Formats: sequence, structure tokens, C-alpha cells
Amino acid sequence: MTDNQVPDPDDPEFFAKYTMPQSIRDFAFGPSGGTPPPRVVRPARRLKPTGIDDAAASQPDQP
Amino acid sequence: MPVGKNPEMLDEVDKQSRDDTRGGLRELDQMVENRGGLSRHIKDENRALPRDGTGKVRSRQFPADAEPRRITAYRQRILNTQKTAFGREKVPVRVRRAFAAVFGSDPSELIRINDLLADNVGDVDALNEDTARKVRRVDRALRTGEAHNKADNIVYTPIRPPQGVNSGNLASWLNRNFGDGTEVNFDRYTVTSHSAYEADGSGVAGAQWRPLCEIVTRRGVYVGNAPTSKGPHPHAGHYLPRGIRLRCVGVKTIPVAAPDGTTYERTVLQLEDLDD
Repeated sequence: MTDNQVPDPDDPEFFAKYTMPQSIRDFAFGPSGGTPPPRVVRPARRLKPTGIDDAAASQPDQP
Repeated sequence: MPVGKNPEMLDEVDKQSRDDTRGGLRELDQMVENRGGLSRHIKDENRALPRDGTGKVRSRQFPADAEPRRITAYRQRILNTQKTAFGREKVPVRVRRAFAAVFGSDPSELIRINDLLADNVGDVDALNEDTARKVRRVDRALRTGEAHNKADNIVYTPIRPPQGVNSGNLASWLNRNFGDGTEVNFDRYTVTSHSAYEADGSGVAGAQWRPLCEIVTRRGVYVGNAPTSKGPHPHAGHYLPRGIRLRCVGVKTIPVAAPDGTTYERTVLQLEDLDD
């Protein structure tokens, strides 16, 4: 079995035989790919420290 | 090569709305868990976010900053033992078929589902019936596999920064947006590797400054190959489930070891599991 072949899912030993296909590796790790990064808030302006927790407002968020 | 959606910046209103949605989904999942009279399977089928399938796992720490990142043959043998145990599980054929459709030879289905999950903040009930069924089956496969995890995984995945971030401002972008303790949510399935070298594109990646996430997590399933020699084998894939919460613990410059014994440096954003 080559790197890009996926075993037959009807085979009960599917998960024992499965390895990440080359196409998924290329998609995730290749030069033009990459796992989508976290989305990040770009605050319009900095909040004054009025007791509001602005840490939450700057949490990243994966798209 | 399809790449899926491009990274983007959110305004604070959108971000807060997505955080609120996630919080609501977690509350609903807790209500499902607290309901009596339901089997484990029914509860899992009614959750919006997949349940953590791991049991007791050994805690592991980030390597020292100066320690070259490489996967050892010893560690890979342990992972292969876990994989063998997963392979012996009786998994329904419909679950195997769903997994093969999403993580098959063509990544387009993975990209499609990941983009839908991102658009819907991980809410599987917002997807059409066929897609939701497929997602739940993939969740079940990953949950079944991660039940065999014996120790925390240390895995890597590249970050594709938004437009405007380059080698000159990368470090400040990471430090500004991902300070220690910052929560990061992965609504999608995430493809990672136990080998930093593999996750970095095995030395062929175009952007030499592209940062990596270095993640310590008990979650997910090893899908690599057994080593064919005594040395480490940079085919060490690992799929993380959707709907995981992580916490930033640092931005570092670390050495990555290539199979030929040389090392080179990469910037990493270190993340670890964030429990409820």
C-alpha cells in the first residue's frame, strides 16, 4: 500500500492498517497548506480598566 | 492543492458572539450529561461537541527550550502499540466509512467539513443531516481511538498567519495575540504530527519563518507509520478531535531536528489542554 492509499473501510482491520495519506500531509503541512490559524481579535481601541475583563475579548478563535 | 478558508481577523462583537455560542453549546452538553436514563451512546449522539474519550494518561511536559524537537523510536513504538490496540476495537462499518470519507486520499471532504464547523462554531446540529451524521461518526472513531492513549501527546501543526504578518513582525504578532493564559478554541479537526520536522513540511515548506503550534494534549489519535529502522521515522501523524480548548503557555524559538541529524530553528506557539 502506498502512502496515499487508504484501506477499504469495509475491512474490519481498517484502523490497524490506516495511516495518514500523503494528500492529507501535503494539505496540512505543505508550503501552501497549513492548519488554519486561530482567528484573533484586533481591538478597535484599548478599553480602559473599568473592571471589564478584556482578556476574554482578546481570545483567539480558530476559523 | 486546496487550502480551505483563509485566516482572518474578527472584530470584538463577532468574537464575543462566537465565545457565547461555544459557552452555550458546552452548557447544553452538560445538561445532556446530567440527564438520567440515557445510555452513554445516546448521550454522545446528542452532544454538540465530542466527549473526551481519554482515560487516565501520564502527564508530559514541553521539552526544554534548547532541546531539539524529534520523535524518538521509543516514543513511536508506544504510539504504535496504542494504534494496534485501537485497530483491534470493533468499530461499526458506518463509522469506518465516515472516517475514510473525511480522512481519505482526497482532502476536499475534510476541508469542506472543517469550513462548515468553523462557520457554525462547532455546532454539529447546525449542519445538514448527512454531514452531521458523518461528523458524529468521525467523532466516535476518534473517541474510540483516544481511549487507548497512555500519555500526553506532544504534537505540532503549522500556523498560516493572516495577511500582513511576515518574518519581520511574526514574533510581535504572536506575543500580542497569544499571551500566556490566552484561550484558543479549535472548532475544526486538526491535522498534527508528533514530528516537528514533518509538521514543518519535512524541510520543503516555502516560508521558512512559518510558525508551528507545539501542543501538549491528551486528546486525539496517532495515525503514523511504524518505524522501519531503529531510528526515528518522521511519519508520525496525529488527528485532533474538533471542539478542543487550549491555553497559550508561551512563544518560543526552538531547534527542530531533521532526520539527517542537522537542526534548524522555528518559532512555536506553545499550547496545552484547557480543562473545564
